[in-house]
Amino acid sequence: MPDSGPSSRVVPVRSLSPGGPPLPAGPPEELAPWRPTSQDPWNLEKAAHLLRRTGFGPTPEEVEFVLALGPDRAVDALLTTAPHPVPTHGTHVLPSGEILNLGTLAGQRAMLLYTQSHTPYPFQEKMAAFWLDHFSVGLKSSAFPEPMGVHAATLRTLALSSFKEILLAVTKDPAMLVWLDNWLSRARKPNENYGRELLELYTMGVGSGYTEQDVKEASRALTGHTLRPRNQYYFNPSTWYHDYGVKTVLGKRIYNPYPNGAKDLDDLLDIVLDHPATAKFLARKIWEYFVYLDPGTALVDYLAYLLRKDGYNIRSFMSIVLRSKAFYSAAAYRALVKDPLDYCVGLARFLHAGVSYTGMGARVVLQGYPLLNFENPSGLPDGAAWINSQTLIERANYAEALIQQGGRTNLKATFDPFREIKRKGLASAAGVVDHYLLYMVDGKVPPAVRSSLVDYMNRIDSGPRKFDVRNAAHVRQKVSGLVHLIAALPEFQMK
Amino acid sequence: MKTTRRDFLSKSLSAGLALPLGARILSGGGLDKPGDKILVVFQWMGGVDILNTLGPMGHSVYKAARPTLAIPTSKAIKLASGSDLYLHPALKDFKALWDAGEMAVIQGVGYPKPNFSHFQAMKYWYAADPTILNVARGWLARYLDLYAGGSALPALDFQRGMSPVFTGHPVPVVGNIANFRFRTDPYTRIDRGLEEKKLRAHASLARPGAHPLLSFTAAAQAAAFDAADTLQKTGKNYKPAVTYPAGNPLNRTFQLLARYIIHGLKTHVYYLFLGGFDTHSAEATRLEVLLSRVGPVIKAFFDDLKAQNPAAAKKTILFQWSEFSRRIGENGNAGTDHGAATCNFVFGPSVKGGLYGTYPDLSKASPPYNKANLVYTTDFRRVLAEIVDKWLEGSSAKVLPPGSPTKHLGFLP
Repeated sequence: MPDSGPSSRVVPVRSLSPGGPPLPAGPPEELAPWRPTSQDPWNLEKAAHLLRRTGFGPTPEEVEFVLALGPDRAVDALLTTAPHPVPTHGTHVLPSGEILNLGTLAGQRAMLLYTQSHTPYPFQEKMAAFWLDHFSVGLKSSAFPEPMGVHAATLRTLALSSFKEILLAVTKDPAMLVWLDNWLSRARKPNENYGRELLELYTMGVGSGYTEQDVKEASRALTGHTLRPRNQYYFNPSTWYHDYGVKTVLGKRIYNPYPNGAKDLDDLLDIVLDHPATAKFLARKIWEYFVYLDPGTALVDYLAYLLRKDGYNIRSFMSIVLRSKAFYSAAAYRALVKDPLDYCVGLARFLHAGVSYTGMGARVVLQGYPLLNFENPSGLPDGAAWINSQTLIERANYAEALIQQGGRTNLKATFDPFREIKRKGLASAAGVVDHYLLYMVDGKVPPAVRSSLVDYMNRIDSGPRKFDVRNAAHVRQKVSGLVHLIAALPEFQMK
Repeated sequence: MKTTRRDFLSKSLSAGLALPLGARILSGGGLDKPGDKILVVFQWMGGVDILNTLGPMGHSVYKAARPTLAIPTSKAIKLASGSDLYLHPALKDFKALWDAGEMAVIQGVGYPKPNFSHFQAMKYWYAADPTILNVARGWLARYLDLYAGGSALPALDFQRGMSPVFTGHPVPVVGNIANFRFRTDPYTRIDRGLEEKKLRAHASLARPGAHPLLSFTAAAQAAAFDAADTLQKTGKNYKPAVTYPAGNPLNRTFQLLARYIIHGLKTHVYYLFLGGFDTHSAEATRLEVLLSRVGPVIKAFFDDLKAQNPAAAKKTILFQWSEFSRRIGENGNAGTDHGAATCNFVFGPSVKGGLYGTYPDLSKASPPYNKANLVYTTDFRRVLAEIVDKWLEGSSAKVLPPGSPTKHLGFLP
């Protein structure tokens, strides 16, 4: 029976100042729960919007299911998770027969994409993808990709828990310890790499009020977290490893005498989480990932208040975000660009396509997403930065490879062009075009696109012969091309 | 309220970029015509350890500060008689370019109040402004605003579009040219032409009232069709005239660059990017790997240009930068932490080879050296200003933020 799983366990943030910063004047109207009205009903477009933002792109059946479920029960279902271990080591055979060697980066990528495509808990997986981006860890040596699988598994397990619990786990995560050198940091010469990024990229944000001295002191508090051979984390309490001196971070004192140096991490995180900049930084980042870019200051302040109030509990925060008026507002609608995971996993899911996930991994990288191997710790580009000539070409060519029959590309894709025609009893060229436009882009495209697509359907062999839904050759040729043309539309790049 | 990069994008997108690229350039931008010179920018991300790349390796402070990382002068390459600077042993090609008078070094480049964050320091360079929080407009974007007139492809980005230096300009990004074309024809070859026509037509349709990001996407797609055609055709039969270093992962990019320059693509700014310079640990090996890649490929690239199109070679410079250098002393992990001030390398047959500015004085540093930084002597905006004024034939007063130091150093003719 699914329950809220191990991630419901919340590590308390002890020293949060009571109430945090002064509360803005009441909750902003846009955070009130959205309720369907006759002018603004719950419909297919809204169901699809919810699923595009909380997963990697729905199948037509999932949209219909969530439409029937209604917004509140849909969000309840999305927020529910259960443990479902994903292998991180060894060799695995997927149901399709594809063999994944998790001792390779390609194998790890494929396993992650397979999980994103088939998980029973898409929102947990989406939130894990947010954290993967947030921490943006890369491999120092491609010879040992298993720690990246462990890293992804950790973030999956904790995806909806508390931010403190996530920070604790990530600090001790072998992939992160190697990526930002903290496993090498010693009492005598602390390495500042992790301490700096912890403040700059993971919690407070650049220019938010910490100093170079805070970075240095935080780095001292983070000494001693290191690795045994075979990438096993442990805290080494010796004075050689951990700096037992007094540290002052953000004006607050950290002191834990020998042999309790491990407690420094706990104290450091409490201090950092208590700083108003942290709640604002994370609240804004989550909002911009799930809702829209550039929320106003008042909104961010209130979101930060909510986040702090619940001890940075992600599940309860997302429960408010995903039910809010803002989430279903015009400002949020199609206001974010799909990232390559949304695009690749989403299109394959929509088509129920069989694919090589190893091939998909290579395509995701070509579209600008260095999955499980970030090149720099600042994470993914935002908004428009996903879009450039190279990535748009790669996206359209991915769609083209996906709808090819016979698997001539590294995607080895198979898809059934008759599926929707049979399921929905589609009978004409216009009927087929309208169906695919509705389910792929909410039917919202310039009218000239629709007529152009109907025209495309009715030029069999590029000639004037009309599309006949009963003619299998017509369906194979034209439904494939239609999906490609819609998947290449600017509208389909948005979510 | 601060203007974020996205604020800016949204505003500029709705203002103009929603039009197809060509139309925008003809109607907006082109105040001036660019010259016919070519600037290749080569960004080294992570903060290069300049002391081990080009440094006073005989200096007592250098040796004391780097018990394991110091390169003995017996192994390093002496830059010139009369100079106390040595090149990393992997940089013999830099030495060859230096001896040919085709390498200029601007020493001690930086700005007041160094920032030790990669991302913030890079933003300063992208914006040519060491005071900003976010990049509203990159210096190259500002250059293109003013001088891109008439050119359909004024700039090309070979570094995957991650840099805000072009923010606001839909500069095409080219990763792999073999893949830089829209594939069509899913099932039978017969629909190829029809699909291609439709893809183009759909991207070019007006989308009134669309979200700025959607308009931008449509414009970028239309631009991609045009760029794909030109970039596939230009220099299709290019063959390198010289041997590029075997197995060097940078060959593909530099050969593509050579192909376009030799075959006269009307592009003035190319942007290249190499990561991996953030050597907090195991620096000796990591820096050696990187430098043994960049040295030979830069030399081969210019040799290739000279062999196939000497006139184009004379019109090309390569400008190297990195967001900062590293601490004077090593850390406990056989690496170095983030530091300040660096050197810029500028290559090309037309460059006035030599040393410019002053190398930061190591004698002034005091222990602990792993906390000590190089102190800048030359404002980085002076370097950018000279490139804009003397090479790109623009005006640094218009391109760089008001009040920037712009006094030329003299490394360009």
